[in-house]
Amino acid sequence: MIKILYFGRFTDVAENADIALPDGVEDTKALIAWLTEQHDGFEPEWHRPGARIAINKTIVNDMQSHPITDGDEIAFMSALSGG
Amino acid sequence: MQATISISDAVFDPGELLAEFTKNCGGAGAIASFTGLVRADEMTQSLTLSHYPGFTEARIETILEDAFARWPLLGCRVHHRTGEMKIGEAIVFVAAAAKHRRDAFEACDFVMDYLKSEAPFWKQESTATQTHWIEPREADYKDKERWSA
Repeated sequence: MIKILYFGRFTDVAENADIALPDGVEDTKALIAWLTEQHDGFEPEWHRPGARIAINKTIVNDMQSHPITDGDEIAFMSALSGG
Repeated sequence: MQATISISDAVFDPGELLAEFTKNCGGAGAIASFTGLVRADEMTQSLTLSHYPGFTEARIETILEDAFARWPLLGCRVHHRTGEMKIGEAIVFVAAAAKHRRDAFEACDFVMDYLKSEAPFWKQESTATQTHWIEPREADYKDKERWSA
């Protein structure tokens, strides 16, 4: 199982979920492609400026693909806006 | 006294936080503080902030570590509201203590600039007719860039 969390604008298009790692999904690139198929509106949010992905509470470089394994917590975040 | 970070849904009094911070900063010659409020606006009825528990605190800690590396600080305090806030309520409180005023002013300014665009919070504004996401303005990113020069 992996835990997928959504923050900011991503909450408009998907809900947090614990899911079995989908077949063939072994990295962030494949997960993003899978989520694009699962949720209308996911892809435009992912391409908005400031969108980020974190694996187990560490932001990873979204230009590269990063391995995902069972038990990971994956967070999709729109542009951060504190203060 | 070093860095203290807290996040809460409860309404808070920035004056109380400043008094407590001041009491715990023995030896400081200067304390600078900033309080951000929900701005009165014709359309705004409320702001709602969310965060990523555990991750948000860790990211703020990194920002404060950076501040401590840049200025000789004696202490730093960050408190951030989450949940729904009405006009006039405090959203964020930042205070920095140092021996001299310039260090305290600059550290406080630096921490706020980074909280604006690097701290994992998400902000929604509600008006009478709609709710929309608020994201950092170009000016917020430029403010942060001042510190990389």
